[in-house]
Amino acid sequence: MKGVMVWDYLMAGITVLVGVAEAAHLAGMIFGWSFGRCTLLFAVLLGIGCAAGAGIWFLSVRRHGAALYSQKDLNGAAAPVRRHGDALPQEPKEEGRGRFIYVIFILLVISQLIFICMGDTDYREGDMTVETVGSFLQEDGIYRVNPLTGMPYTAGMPSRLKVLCLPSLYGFLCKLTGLSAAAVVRNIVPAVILLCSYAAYRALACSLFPREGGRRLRRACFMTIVSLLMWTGTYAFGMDGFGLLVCGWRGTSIRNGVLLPWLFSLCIRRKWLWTVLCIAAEACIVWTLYGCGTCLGVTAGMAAAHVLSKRLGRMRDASKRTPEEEGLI
Amino acid sequence: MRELLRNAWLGWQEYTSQGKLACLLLAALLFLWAGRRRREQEPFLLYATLLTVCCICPVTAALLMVYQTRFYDYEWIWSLAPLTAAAAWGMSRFLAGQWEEKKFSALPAAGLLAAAVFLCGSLGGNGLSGDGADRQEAAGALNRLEELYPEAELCLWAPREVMEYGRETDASLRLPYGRNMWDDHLNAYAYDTYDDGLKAMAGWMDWAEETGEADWKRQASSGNPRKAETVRLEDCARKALESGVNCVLLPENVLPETLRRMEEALGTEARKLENYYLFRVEERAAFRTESRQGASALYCRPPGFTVMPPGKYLAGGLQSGCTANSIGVQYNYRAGRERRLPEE
Repeated sequence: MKGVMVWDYLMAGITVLVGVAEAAHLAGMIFGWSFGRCTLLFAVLLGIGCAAGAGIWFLSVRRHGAALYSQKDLNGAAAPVRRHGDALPQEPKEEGRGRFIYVIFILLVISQLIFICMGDTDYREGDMTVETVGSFLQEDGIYRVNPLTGMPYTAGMPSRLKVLCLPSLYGFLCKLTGLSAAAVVRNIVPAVILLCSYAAYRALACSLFPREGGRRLRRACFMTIVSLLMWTGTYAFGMDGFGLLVCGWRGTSIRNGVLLPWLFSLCIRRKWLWTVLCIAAEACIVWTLYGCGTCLGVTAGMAAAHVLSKRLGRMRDASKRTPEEEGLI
Repeated sequence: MRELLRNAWLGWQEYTSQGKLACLLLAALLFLWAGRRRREQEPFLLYATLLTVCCICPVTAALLMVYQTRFYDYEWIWSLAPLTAAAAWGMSRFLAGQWEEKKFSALPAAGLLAAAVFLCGSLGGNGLSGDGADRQEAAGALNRLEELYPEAELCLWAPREVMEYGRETDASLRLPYGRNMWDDHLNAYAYDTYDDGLKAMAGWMDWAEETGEADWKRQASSGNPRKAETVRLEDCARKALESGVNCVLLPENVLPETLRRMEEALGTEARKLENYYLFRVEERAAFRTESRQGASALYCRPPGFTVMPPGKYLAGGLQSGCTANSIGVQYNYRAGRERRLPEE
């Protein structure tokens, strides 16, 4: 596929994972299946998804030869410095600086992973994911009791929240791995989401600095500054850094940290069809206005910005033309 | 709409009072507009600028909040603006520009930039919940409970820190009320509400933990500051039993009188468990119900288990398969007609 990067495949895989979890979750809710049966369905669908993904990957690699997708150019055009998939060596000085900055970036990411895994760093206010996952596993069913009390519901819960699949996804992971709900939700998932977030930001870096000179250095700077902003953004609820480092299991954190950076990357490259994946994934993990969530708003906004930019460009071009040129035209 | 506008305005003030990453974004956007040479990534720059303006302006911010179902607070509309991405983009362009054009040494530029970023926020400090000690203490008590009663289905009433982590530590544990009693945000996840009796139980437990006393003098629900009503230990204990509680923990700092009255109310002896006093209400003699007239006595196990009252109270008793919180219904049905006394 033209102009598709390795990061796109990774992000698409995450959205497919969410989709599979949603299918198993809905099956459990609608047909009243036991949680064990839902887990089996999830595992089977995931296996099929992985096989299909591997097949698509294999076919793409065969079609495009040994080209490194991660270094592909914006809009899929051949990068000027590359011949037959081999990147020409960059300026040694720039290469060295880029590597040095990447080392700083990796150190920052490792420090964040330690922060997440050391415990006592989670923000539980307004969240009951661990209790929900625990109740799914304990009752062997989805929303059979009120997760906060363990008692049956007296008035029920809103359907708009009942359809969200993240607690089930975490429950499936607990069931498949045998780990406790607290360990999966509080440590493992946030760590994975953090890494996925950097993958999404890497895709955005490739889109923002596509083929200009010194792109390696700029991308390295971008990634390092993003990781610094994550650290410093832990000061308030709602900031990206807070979401990823303190409550990375929440749907809003996944949307802001993973889906949106990738969505911006897709919109910059005008991969409009791929944006559907983000919109659907958000609808499965965050309460939206019947699917009209942040991802749809961002896609619409970016599309409008593309149109506006084009018009502004035409106006600028027209204003630059001299009267003689106008006459010639 | 006026309320929404007010929230938008106050939200912006709150958003910028704790940290200044929004200011960093504005500086980055200014640099990107001023310093660009070509029309590179113009749509992204246009979008970031317009959305930032929309998030700051109260009218457009209120509209964005409406779009986000009104359920989410002001800070969530900033999800639409690429704050982290645009700020990092501007700063990386600046930094890489310094390196490439050698305007001045790159290291001081990087240092200044890093200092600016640090000054705009904090380094993970606010993320620390600091409740690890509470959690460990609660987990210790709950694990001991599980060791003591491995097979029992416990329904626990305990101080807040234990209730807070109870369901997280052990999913088989049942509670008369959950964390949503004090965390209002959690009430969005269910239509269930708590009655006054359960609220009084939660308030009484907080009071007992704070003062150790048995009677809680709270402000009257009518709102009149002069009127104060007393929530008695016995009333809370009765409500707890009605709610199915078969295990009570009291903090160790309670007064001897409170301990004695709780023992009498529950009909069981207290024993020490970690930093708490444990009252285990046996299922076979949970409590005795006696009619007001004293004509008949009804023995039954605590709610949450199968209750089999005499037919004259509930014809036919519970139907098989009918388990959905019919407990509360049964007790409400008899409320006001019966007086329950603890078994001697």
